[in-house]
Amino acid sequence: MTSELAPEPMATDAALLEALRDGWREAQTVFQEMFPGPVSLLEPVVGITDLVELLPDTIAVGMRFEGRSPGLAALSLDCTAARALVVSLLGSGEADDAEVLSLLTDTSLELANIVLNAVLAEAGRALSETYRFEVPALMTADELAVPYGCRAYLLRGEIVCGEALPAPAQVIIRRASSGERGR
Amino acid sequence: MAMVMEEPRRRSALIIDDSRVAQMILGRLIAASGWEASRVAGGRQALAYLEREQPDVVFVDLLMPEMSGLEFLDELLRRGYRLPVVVLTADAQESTRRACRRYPIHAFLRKPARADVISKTLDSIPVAADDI
Repeated sequence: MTSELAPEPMATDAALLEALRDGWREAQTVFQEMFPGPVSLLEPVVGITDLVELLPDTIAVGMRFEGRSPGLAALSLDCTAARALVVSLLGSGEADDAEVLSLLTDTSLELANIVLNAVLAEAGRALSETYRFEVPALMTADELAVPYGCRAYLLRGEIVCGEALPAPAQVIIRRASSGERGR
Repeated sequence: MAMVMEEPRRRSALIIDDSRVAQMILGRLIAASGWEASRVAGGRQALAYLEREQPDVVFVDLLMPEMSGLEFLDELLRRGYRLPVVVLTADAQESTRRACRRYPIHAFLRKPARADVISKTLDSIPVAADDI
């Protein structure tokens, strides 16, 4: 990833960034409740960027939201970590390759739904906003790209599944571009 | 004369969620409480199911393609159903909770489903009059 986190976010963004941190903590709880195996989400680096890129071998799920400030939230996860999460859900005795593969997308969609809702709920509380969500969908790097002149809030952390090494996990939140509004 | 004891009917739940994973997680928790669980992927399939079966409780997600959970609740009202409904959603905003009050829902729960909460919720579902 080449995106740069702003070292000193603007003061007006401080409350929102703190809310997003709280949302990430909520997401940590979600992971522990949802997966029977040992899964942990490590503390993220939080910041503002105008350039969002996906690492290779990541799966990204985006969810558009409507409200006073419509936008797009996304969760991207390392594919190996996503696969480990499916195996954790199925239980080691039940997990065959075909079943794991067939549930990989579905697990990522459901996980993104829960995590992004947790993060946006905190953001909404901080901004006194409520949101209506669209059904989550797999997204490409192009769809997640920050429109010219806009910024995105980025939480970049790591996920640890069982004995595996920490793998990248990030949450991206950005305002809708003018072309995306009212779709 | 030997008396034949009838097995009590297992209580049943219908899960409405477009996510197979969410269905699987909730289905396991319901089964662990000794209930039967049937699963459908959306509101339309659920309405078709309800024409032939009578579950003791319905668990419904809100964010689904084609027919949302709120549209499903509207349709239940329109058709005159009075089933216990539990909303299980990732969207726990107060505005969403309020929107669900269009139907007298039994409970509003936040995803992911937790074993203790599901067990307690199932215990609180009233027994149908014809089962007593």
